[in-house]
Amino acid sequence: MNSLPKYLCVDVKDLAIVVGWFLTIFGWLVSNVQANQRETRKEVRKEVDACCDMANDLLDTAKRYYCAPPTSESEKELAAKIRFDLKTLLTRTERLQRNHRQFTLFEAGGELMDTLTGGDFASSSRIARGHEDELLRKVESATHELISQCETGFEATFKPKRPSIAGWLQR
Amino acid sequence: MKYSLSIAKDFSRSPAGRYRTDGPFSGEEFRESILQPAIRKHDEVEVDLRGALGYGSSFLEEAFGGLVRKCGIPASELRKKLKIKSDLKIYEDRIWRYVDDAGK
Repeated sequence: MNSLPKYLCVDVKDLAIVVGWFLTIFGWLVSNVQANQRETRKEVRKEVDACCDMANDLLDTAKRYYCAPPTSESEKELAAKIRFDLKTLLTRTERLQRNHRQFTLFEAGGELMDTLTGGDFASSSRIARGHEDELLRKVESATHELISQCETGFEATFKPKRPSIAGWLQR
Repeated sequence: MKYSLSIAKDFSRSPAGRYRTDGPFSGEEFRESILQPAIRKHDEVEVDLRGALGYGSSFLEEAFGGLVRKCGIPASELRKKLKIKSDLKIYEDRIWRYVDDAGK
């Protein structure tokens, strides 16, 4: 009966141990990378959702503000709230764009800022507008554009570009 | 010599409105009482936007675009003299747009 030399048997045994360790470490690395990607995706999704909610709230406040007469008591409070909320929203969108290059929110953010707080914003000669007013339509459109850009950025950031190892294993 | 001014510290933490008639701390008031004299007097002026509770485009446009439109300072001169310090890049970007648009 042909048997392998003794020194070769020892080597194969050692090799099996090394391969076992290698596979263990490799598997750990793969699962670690995937877990990190999942966590990042969750965090960014949460941030995108928060930005979209803020943009929608801002739109509601803008409607209340522009439809109220400039002499109303809450007018100044609403204007201050719009400035503050807009700053918070723009801070978050800028952070998203800084950390994830696929987000391009700069233009949409600036457009929203100009539409919402330009013209006769915080002016004593401002007139109370109707809900169908052209300005409110523009604010609505700028808000939707920012939300849309947030979603596009998210999709572009996390869309799988190459088949992943997990995807390959599932086949 | 560089002259630095902070809107939050030297003017108001909640600047608002375009004209003086709109209320206190308007863009017009800031431009006429603080910004324009500083630009005329100093070779380089740094405006710090940090610390305020937020800015509206109407305030920024009147304060900075007004330097070109109403004070007759060329946009090219402002590009050399004026420096903007802000925690939000979008404020700085908009200010230069207002300046350039006012110069057209």
